[in-house]
Amino acid sequence: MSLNPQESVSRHLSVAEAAVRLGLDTFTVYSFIQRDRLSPILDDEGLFVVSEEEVNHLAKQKEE
Amino acid sequence: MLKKGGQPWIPRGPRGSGSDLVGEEARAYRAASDSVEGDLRQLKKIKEQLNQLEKVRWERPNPPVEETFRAADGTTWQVYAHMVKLPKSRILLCRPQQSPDWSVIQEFEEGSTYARNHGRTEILAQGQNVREVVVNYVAQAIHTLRFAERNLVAEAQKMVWREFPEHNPGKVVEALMERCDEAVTHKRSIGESQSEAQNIRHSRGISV
Repeated sequence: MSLNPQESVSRHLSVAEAAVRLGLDTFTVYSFIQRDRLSPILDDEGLFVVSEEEVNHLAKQKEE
Repeated sequence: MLKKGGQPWIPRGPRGSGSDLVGEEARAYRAASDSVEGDLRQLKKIKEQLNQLEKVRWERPNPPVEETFRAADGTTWQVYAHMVKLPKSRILLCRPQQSPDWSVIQEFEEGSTYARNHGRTEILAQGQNVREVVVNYVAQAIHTLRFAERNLVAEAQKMVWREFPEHNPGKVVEALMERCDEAVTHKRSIGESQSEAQNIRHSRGISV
């Protein structure tokens, strides 16, 4: 089954998944959300998740 | 697990209040509770470390330097206290050499994806009054604890409604909320207030 590019762009990650991808702990990812480093997304079941795209951006972005 | 009349039983609240979890309710509570146990334990550890910080007398005339490190921008930081140990980072109370400013710095694990791209250290709170800087950081961390706890409850709630929809999920979730709340509730002891933190510069996490 091929992935729809639109779907992959808008995929969400749990805080734990984001933490693994960034090499951080979940507490730090929660603090990033509170400091506007990542945008919180409330899913249909009332759980805060984050955008995979934003996490990937944070994982790759080099600050000047 | 305790049993009553041969059924799993979790006593709660005053006797006879009807809030005890029995049978499948108790099983649902245990399953959901187990699913968030590791994360909850971690939050509890952080809360305990924050509680300890509030017992420290920060305004000492000549505090000893515990270690020094050189940040990517060339600044040499003197570390005066290890405030919080997180699984993949640590929170340090620091001052640059020959500067009156105090900073709370987060040092990330060496080689982590985030640290490789953003540097190993970020300033979380800064100011000239050491106590106010610490209070400011503690306030931020308590806020984060609450946020994390709220999300853990939502995760457990999701599981209860999905796997035990027939067994009083509302009552089970209420019990889970109480447990999570109790684990992370932070008791303030050094009279921090909004006004104390108002004049403190605090960053959104500036790499140093």
